[in-house]
Amino acid sequence: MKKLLQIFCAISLTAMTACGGGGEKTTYSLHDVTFTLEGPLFEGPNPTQYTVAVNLKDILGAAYKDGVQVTGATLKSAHIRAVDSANFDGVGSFVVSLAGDNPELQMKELAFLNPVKPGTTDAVLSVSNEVKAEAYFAEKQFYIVVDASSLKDLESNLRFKGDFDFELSYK
Amino acid sequence: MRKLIVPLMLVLVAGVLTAFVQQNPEADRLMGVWEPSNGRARVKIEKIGSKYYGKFVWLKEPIEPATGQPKTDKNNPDPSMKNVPLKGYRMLKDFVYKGNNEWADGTIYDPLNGSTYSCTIKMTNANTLDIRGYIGVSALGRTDVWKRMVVK
Repeated sequence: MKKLLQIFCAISLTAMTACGGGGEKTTYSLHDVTFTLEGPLFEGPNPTQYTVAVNLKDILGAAYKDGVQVTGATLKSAHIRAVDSANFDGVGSFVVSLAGDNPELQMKELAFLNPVKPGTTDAVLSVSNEVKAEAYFAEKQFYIVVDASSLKDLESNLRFKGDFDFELSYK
Repeated sequence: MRKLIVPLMLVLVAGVLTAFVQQNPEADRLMGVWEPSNGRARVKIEKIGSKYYGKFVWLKEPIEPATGQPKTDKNNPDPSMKNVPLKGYRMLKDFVYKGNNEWADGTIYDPLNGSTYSCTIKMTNANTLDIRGYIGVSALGRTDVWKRMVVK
């Protein structure tokens, strides 16, 4: 009987570890997202945004089933890469936020780089340890907002690409 | 033919409604640059999706005296976000136009103590806003008067 109980406990612990207590996990990657800030840009923060259409069938692939819900979402990494210009000289900082149209959904800042060092071409942003983003994945769409803070007035457009990796829990 | 007309009409109505949500001149009057009564900052209100957000675009004292560097959001309750630049920070978030010159459902952030409060905005005339921050119920709050920087 004692041995049976030990086996039961071992199986339960293994299952909890695999499921993380909140269901299965997957990584949702949004790579090569193009952002364009049309010049002239004034000194200070300039926003640009990308609309993410949430389609859990595409995100979860074969793991998708009717009624599945995203129960946890955290941004694990955020990169912003220069496209037209050789580097980000003239940009003082980047801040990445999420926003949505649902009045119940509050905007959240979840990554930033401040300052952007001269010569930077691939900005690796610091990611918040605390922001939970699962509510955004219950929407039809949400916005990734990137604020690029110009150190001076810029005549030309500023284009860059972003790579974002979210860790999702679902059940 | 009738089977085709009904879906087409629905698509047309949906398109008109979407356009109305995205471009609402009455609601968009909130956009612009505003100055709180203490004159220590200027806040630019913009639209993202269907909601309104306000960020610091000018600070009277942009430099942190202790470091000599531009101020950051040092009182942010999330320790990993304390180095986000204060200039550009969105201190007004998620406002929805309710009609009758009022925007609600939003929040206002006080960078001096890192606290976020519920908030409503009332436009008393084209160049003046009553910004009311509160905890819980609107009666328990404080109203500040903001002026538009470019007078219409």
